[in-house]
Formats: sequence, structure tokens, C-alpha cells
Amino acid sequence: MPRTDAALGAHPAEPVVQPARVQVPSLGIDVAVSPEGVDAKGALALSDDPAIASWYRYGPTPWSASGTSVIAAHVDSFDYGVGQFALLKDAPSGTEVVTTSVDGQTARFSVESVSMVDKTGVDWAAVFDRAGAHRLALITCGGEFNYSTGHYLSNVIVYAVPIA
Amino acid sequence: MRKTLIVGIAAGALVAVAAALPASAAEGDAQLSVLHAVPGVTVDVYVNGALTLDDFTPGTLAGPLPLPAGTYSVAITASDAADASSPVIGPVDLTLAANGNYTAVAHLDAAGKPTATLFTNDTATLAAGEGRLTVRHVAAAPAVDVLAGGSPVITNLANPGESVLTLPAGTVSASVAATGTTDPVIGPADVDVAEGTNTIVYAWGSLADGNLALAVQTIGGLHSNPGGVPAGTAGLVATNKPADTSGLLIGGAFALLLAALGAGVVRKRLLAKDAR
Repeated sequence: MPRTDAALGAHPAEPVVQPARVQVPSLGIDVAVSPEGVDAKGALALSDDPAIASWYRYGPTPWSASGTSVIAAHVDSFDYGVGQFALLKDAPSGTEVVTTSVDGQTARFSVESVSMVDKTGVDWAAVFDRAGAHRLALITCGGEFNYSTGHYLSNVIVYAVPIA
Repeated sequence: MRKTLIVGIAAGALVAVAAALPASAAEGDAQLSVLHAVPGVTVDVYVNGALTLDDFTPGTLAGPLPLPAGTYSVAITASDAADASSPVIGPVDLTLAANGNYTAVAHLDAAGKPTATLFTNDTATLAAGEGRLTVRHVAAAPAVDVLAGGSPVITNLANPGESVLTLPAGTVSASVAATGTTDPVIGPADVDVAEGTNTIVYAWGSLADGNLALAVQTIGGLHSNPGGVPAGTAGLVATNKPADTSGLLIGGAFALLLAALGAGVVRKRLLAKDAR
């Protein structure tokens, strides 16, 4: 039966290496990353500015040993125009993705898959998985747009695996 | 959700069940943790007569131990006892339901007498971004208030009671004061209410002996996930973008307006053609 010291502060949380930037050099993508939680509707909170991506701060980081680190950005905005993540849908397999932490560490990933998924059919528990094999998910919107609700009908989800 | 255990019953004939304690978790097992919160005494813990925790020291949390649902007899003895026949606490019967999550706490009652309480831990799934804070009073002290940032968030919590809060994940500056007062008897201390986790804080020890303290147990994996990623608002790269606006970097609403006007013009031409 495992035993631990139950004193308050005996087990301080591991410091989290927060991503500050994500780049896809071959596509010319270079955006800032901000740690975010959920919005009032329970969706991932996103900046209006497509050049500022959100990293889901309660899930894995790009430096975690396991689970999916999720970084998402708007594909467009009335104020800022088309965002850089609009280029993700055409990323070939093997495209290199580089994340840089607040303290300057880098983690490199290789694109494994790009998919356009109807928003009503996304398994978000799988996307935000905290326990399985380590990977990076870059997410934006795409596909058809509903001009009356102001939402795209699909998400573009790019999975990338760590480059050893 | 707690059961105060009957204390002081003489030990009956106990069947040694060391072999009955499973080596690994099985579907439906209950999870049992044990917290030693009686100051100053090292003890042994017997489950169904078998020595399960040897030389268990105050402020230590053991477990979780997966156990098949059922009733277990727990006796707590002095650490030099040869067997469970002369317990200082118990024996007490702990009834564990399938898939239940429990913490048995050896502690002092409000008057300072050793006792034991079985608490049921809330493992319900939390909303994304939230954490659960459970506060349990297992100290030899009168009822207390728990203050967060100096304001009472739990009032009149008495030994052996608990109060459960759901909070946005983050650090809470918590202190404990006699109920109705704000002068801390414990803290203030920073408590990390982690996302997707039940953080259980125990106020233990003795007010009279000046050794009140906080112990912490965490149960993680209770998180849920964001329900979507609404990552576009303008329709600028839509695959159903109206053809007459392609290549123009304009707002979706304006595009819609143009599309509607365009459709209207076409319809009028068709009507005009029909009229001829």
C-alpha cells in the first residue's frame, strides 16, 4: 500500500512548460501562443486575433510525456482577415511543426494527418486526450460557413507526432 | 456522505485475510485510502485481522488500495502490538460499495479522543476548467469557518464533517478560524485547487495542544474537455463562399448581402424573361 506525506505543500505541482510560439516553417506559419481555458459556452477560449493561438492550459504541453497538446487559432476574423492557420489544411504529411516555450525550449513535431471533421461529429475527449501517446493537435475551422450563425461547419484538425 | 465509525468495541474473532487482499485492481473495486491524523502516535493498521500498514506515522496518507466491494474490519493498534487484539481505535466495520472511493481517517474527535471516520470521496466528473475542494474537520477543535482570501466560504464545519465546493481551477489562499470569527487558527496557506481534481484538505491535530495542521489528498482524472473549438467567424475561407465575392477580403455579412442581391438580380431577370 503506497504511502505519501500528506502535509500541505509536500508535493508541489510540477512546473508547467508553457508554449509561447508555434511555427510551421514550410507554410510560413508563425503565431504567438497564449495559455487558455474554456469560454462561457465551455468551448476552448480563443483570441479574436488569428495570429494569437490558444494552448489548452489544462491539458498536456508540447513537452509532456503523454497525451495530446492542443493549440488552436481562428482561421479568420472580420477585424484581422484570413489567419495563418488557414494554410494548415494543405499541410503534407511530414511537415515540420516547431513549438517554442516561454523559456526558450523547442519541441519539434511531424505532421501525421490532416482532417476536416464536421463539428457535430468531433470526439473531443479523444482530441483533448491526456493519457495516450504524446502528440500535438493544431486546430482551426474550415469547410462550409453558415452565414446566419457565423460559424464554420467543420474543424480542421492536424495531428503531429514528436520528432525524436 | 460520511459514516462515523463505532469505536471501542472489543475485537472479536478475526479471520486473517492477507491472502484475500487482492494484488491488483479489478473491475468494480472500491478504492480505499487511509489517513493517519492522530498526532504523536505511530500505529499499525489491521484489515480483517491482517497487518496492512506497519509503523504508520501521523500525517501520512496510504493508498489507494483497490478492494472488492464488501465489509472490512479495521483495527488500529499501538505500533508495538503483536496482533489486532488490543486496538486503540476500533475494530470498526467499513462497508465499501463497488466503484466507491473512500478515505478512512484515524483522528481525534472534537474532545480529543482517538476515533475513526470513513469518508466517501466525490469522484463525479467536473466541468472543463473546474476543480473540487473538499474540506474535512478531523481536529480536536470546535466548529470552524474556512476562509478563502479572508472571506468565509464554509461556515460552522464541525468534527467529523465535510464541505465540498466546486471552484474555477487555481490557487486558493485558505485559512481556518473558529466559526463566526476571522482570526486564523490555521493558515493562511495556499491550496492548489487543480483542474479536474478533487483536492481534499483535512484540518487535523489539536487546538489545545497547538498542533493543528492541514493534510492534503488529491484524486485526479475527474476532468472533462472543452466542448468545441469555434475557430472562425468571418467565412473568408469558406468552401461555400459566394462566387461573386471570391478573392475579395470582405466581411461575411457583406458577402451574404452581395449574394442575396445577386440572387435577387438573377431572379428578376428570370421573371422578366418569363414575362416576355
